[in-house]
Amino acid sequence: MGALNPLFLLAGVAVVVPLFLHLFQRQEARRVSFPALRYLERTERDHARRIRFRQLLLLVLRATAVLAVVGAGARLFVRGSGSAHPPTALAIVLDNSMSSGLVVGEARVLDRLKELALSTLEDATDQDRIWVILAGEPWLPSAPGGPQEARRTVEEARASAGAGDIPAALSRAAALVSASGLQAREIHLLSDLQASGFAADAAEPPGDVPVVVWAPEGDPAHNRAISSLLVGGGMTPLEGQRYEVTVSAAPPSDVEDTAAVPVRIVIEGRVRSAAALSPGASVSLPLPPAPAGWTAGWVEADPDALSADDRRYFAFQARPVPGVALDGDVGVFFAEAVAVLEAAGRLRVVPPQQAELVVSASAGALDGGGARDAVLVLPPADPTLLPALNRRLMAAGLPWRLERAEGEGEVVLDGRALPEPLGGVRVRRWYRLSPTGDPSSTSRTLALAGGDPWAVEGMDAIGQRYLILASPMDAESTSLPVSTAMVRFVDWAAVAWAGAGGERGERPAGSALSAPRDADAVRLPSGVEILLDATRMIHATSDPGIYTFLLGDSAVAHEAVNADVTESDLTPLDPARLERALGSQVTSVGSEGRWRRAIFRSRHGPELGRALLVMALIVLLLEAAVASTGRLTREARAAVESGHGAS
Amino acid sequence: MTLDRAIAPGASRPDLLDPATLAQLGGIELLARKVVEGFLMGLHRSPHRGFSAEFAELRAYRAGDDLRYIDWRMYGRSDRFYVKQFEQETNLRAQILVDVSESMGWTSNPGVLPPKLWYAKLLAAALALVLLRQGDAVAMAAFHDRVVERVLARGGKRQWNEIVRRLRSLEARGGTSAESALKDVAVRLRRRGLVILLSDLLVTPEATRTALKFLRHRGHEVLVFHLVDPGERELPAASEARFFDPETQEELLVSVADMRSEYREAVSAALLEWERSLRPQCIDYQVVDTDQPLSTALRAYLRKRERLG
Repeated sequence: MGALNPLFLLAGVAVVVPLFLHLFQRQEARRVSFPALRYLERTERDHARRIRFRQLLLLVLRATAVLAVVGAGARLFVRGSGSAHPPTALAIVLDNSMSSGLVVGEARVLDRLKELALSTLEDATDQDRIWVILAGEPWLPSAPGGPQEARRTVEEARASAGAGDIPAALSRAAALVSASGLQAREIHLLSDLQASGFAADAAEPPGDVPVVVWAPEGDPAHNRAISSLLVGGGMTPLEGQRYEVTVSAAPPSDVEDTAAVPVRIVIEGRVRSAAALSPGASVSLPLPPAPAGWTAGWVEADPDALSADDRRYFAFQARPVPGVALDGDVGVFFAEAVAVLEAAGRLRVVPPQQAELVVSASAGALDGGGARDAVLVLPPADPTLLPALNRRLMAAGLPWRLERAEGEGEVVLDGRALPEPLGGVRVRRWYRLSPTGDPSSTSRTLALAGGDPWAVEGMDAIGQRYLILASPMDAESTSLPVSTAMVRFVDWAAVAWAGAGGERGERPAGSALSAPRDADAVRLPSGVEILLDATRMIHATSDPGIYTFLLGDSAVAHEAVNADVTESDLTPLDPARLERALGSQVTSVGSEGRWRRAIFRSRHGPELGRALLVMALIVLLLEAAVASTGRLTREARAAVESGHGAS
Repeated sequence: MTLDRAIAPGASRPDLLDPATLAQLGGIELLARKVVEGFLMGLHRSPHRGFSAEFAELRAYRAGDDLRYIDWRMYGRSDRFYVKQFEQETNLRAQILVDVSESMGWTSNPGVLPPKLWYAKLLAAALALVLLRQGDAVAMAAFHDRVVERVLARGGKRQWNEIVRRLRSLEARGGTSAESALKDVAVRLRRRGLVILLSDLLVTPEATRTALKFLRHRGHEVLVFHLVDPGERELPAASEARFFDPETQEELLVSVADMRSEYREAVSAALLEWERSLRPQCIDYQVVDTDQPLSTALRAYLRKRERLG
C-alpha cells in the first residue's frame, strides 16, 4: 500500500471528530421533563448491550467513512507483486540547464537528479521504451532505447550553460510517449524547478500522461552572477585606441547581500584589469590600447555555489580607423553623425576610392565602377527618384528594388539579426524593399518594419558588400536621425559592419551560431575542432567560452558564448504555475525514498480512490440505515409533534 | 369557539371530539354534561339501551335492537316487531379514584394537548354524571401519595355538582402511591360496589396490583383507566437528551436514537403487562390515550356496567 498524495493523510486526524462527538457531545444534552422515566430505565436496563453495540457500530461506520475519504484524497494504491510493471513508454526529462550546476551541500543539483534518473532505470525493464530529454540541451536528439542506452545518456549528461525550457521539453516528451503505442506511459521530470525554466506558460501541458515530478523542499540558494558586459560602450574598439569594458552584476537574491566582490578581466591568460563589484551595480574597467586583430578574453568573479555565471566571455576585432566617404546628398543628419565620429577618432572622411565604406545617396556610388569594400545605400526622400535608384541597383547586380509602400504608420524596427543601434528605432515612412531575383543566397534581412524588409545586406557579384535602407534619413520618415542611435548606427556601419563583415557579438549558450563565409571549421571552447557542414550553423553551444572559426589553421573570427543570464535567478517556481504547466496528472515527490515508490505507476495497480469513495458512500448509507432505526417514523412524529415538555 | 356553536346541529358530538379541541370549549362541568348527553344520544341508536329495568313502553323495532327485548306477544297480535322499553333502576355504589400526582399534570405538547389530569377530571365528571343519572350513588377521591380529596357516596343532582366542584380544585402535585389510596378506599367501602381508577399508573406496579386484587377480593368491581399521553409512547425528536422525572427529579442521560424502538417496545410491554396481570382477576383495564375522544373510555364503562346488570 502506498499513497501518491501522502500529505493528505494528515487529514486523517478528522477521524477524531466522530470520536469526540461520541464521547463528549452527550454531556451537552438538553434537559427534558419526562414522567415515564421508568420505561426509559427499563429500556436501558434491558437493552444495554444492544444500545452500546449500536453506538459502537455507528462510531466505527462514521470513522470508516472519514478514513475512506481521506484515503481517496491521499490517492492510496495497492502495490502489485514485486516491481514488475507492464511495458512502459517512459520519458525522462533531465534538467541540465545552467542552474543544475548549483552545488548544494556536497553535491551538484545535477548529480542528484542523475542519481534519481539512474534509480528509475534500475526499475526499468528491457520491454520499456525510454527517452532521455536533456532540457538544457534541446538541440540534442532523443532516440528511444532500453535502460542501458538511457543509463549511458544520463551518465554522460553534464550541466549546460544554456537555459532550460521545461514546458517545451514536457510537450516533446508527451508527444514521444504518446506516439509509442504502449498503453502505460509516464514522464519523469527531474528538475530544480527554477521559475525561469517555466517561462513559456503557453506550452501545452502533457495532457493525460502521468508526470512524476521531483520537487524537493528547501530554501532557494543565494547566487551572485555577472549579468552582462559591454565592450567599448557598445562600439567596437579600434586599433591602437584605449577602451573599457563595463561589467554589471545581477541584483542580489538576498537583500542583505551588499558586499562587493573582486572582478577581473583576463585576456590571453593575463589579468589586465580588476575592480570591486557590488550586487546589482556596474563598473567600467579600463584597458590598454587594443592591438590589431581579434581580442578575446573574459571577465570573472570569485566563484560561488553556481560558478557557471561567474565568468563571461567577450571577443572583438580591432581594426584600423575606417575611411568613410559620403556620396551625394546624404542629408544633414548623416553628415553630422559622420562629423562627430570623425572628431572622436572613430572614422576618417576620405575620398571614395580610399574608403572602406561609401555612404551613397540614391546609390550614386554604384555607378562609378571600381571595387569598394562596402556601400551603404540611402533612399531619396523624393519618391520620383526611385526609378533612377532602382536602375542603379539593377545595373550593379543587386537583387533588390525600392517601391512606394501602400500603407504608412509608425512601427518599431525588429528582426532576428537587428543590429544593436537599431533597437527601438521607430519608422513612420518607408519604401518597400522587394527582391528582384533570389536574394536568399547572397543577402539577408537585418531589420523589418511592419513585416517589410527595412535594412538588407549582401554581397554583389564582385564581392562588394552592400547595405540598403528603406527609409530616407529625415525626421519625418524615422526616429533614427534625431536620436543618439544615429551616431552608434554610423559607427556600427563603418567599424563593425563594413570592417568585420558583420558583427560577432555575445551569444547566449544554446543559441545557434552562424559561421562566417570564409570559415571551414570551428574550434569549441573544449579545444575540439569540428568541420562546418552545409548549413554553416553551430548548434552545440552548451559550453560557454570562445568559439573560434577557422580557415585551415588560421582563425578568421571569434564568437563569445556566455551562460544564459536568466538561469542565474534561482527563484523556485510557484506551485500554482507548476500545476498549470504540468496539467492535472502530476505527482510531486520531495524525497528520494518516495521517488521509487511513485514511479512506474502502472505497477501500483489501480488507485483505490474511486473504490474508497464508493466504500465511503456505502458506509454512509449503512450509517444512515443504522441511525434511522432510531429516528421517528412518520406516524410517531405526528403523535409526538413538536416540543416535548421543556425542562 | 363556544361549546354551543361546536355542538350545533350538524356539528360533531362532544364525546367524539378530540381532547385538544374539547379543552378549548369550556369548563369541566359544562363539557362533562354535554359529553354525557352526546354520548347517551348516541346510545339510542345502539344496542346498549334496555338493561335490568322496569317496563316503561313499547316502540317500533329498529335494526340493531337486542332481540331479547322484542315483545313477541305484540308481534303475534300486530304482525310487527316492537321492542320493550324499561325504566332504569339500580342501587350501585361507585367510587371514582383520580390520580393527581405530579406526573398527571404533564403533557407532551403544552398549549395544544391538555394534561392527563385535565382528561382525568373530565372523564371522572362524565362518569359521575352517567352513574348518577342511572340512580347510582357516586363517591370520589383524589390521591397522590395519600388521599387529598374525598366526596362521600350519594345520589342525586347535587352530588354531581359537588363532585365537579371538588374536581375543579384539584392540582397535580406530589408523588404517586396508588396502593395506599386503594387500600383506604377498600377499608371505607362497606357495600360491594364499583371502583373506577383514573391514573397514568406511573406507580409501583406490584403494590398497586396487590391493592387492586384486594379490592376484588372484597367483592368490588374494578375498572382501571390507564391514561397515557402520546408523548409517553414515543421518545421526542432529539439525538441526545437528559430526561428527568418531575416527581422524583431523577435524571437519565439517553441517546434517543439508540433506544427509540426499544423504548416503544418497552412501553407496549408495560401496558400489556398491566392488562395480563389484571384480566385474570376480572379487573377491567382500559388504556386511554389523552388525544383520543372520551367516548372510548365511556364505552368501556358501559361494557362494564352492562355486565354488572
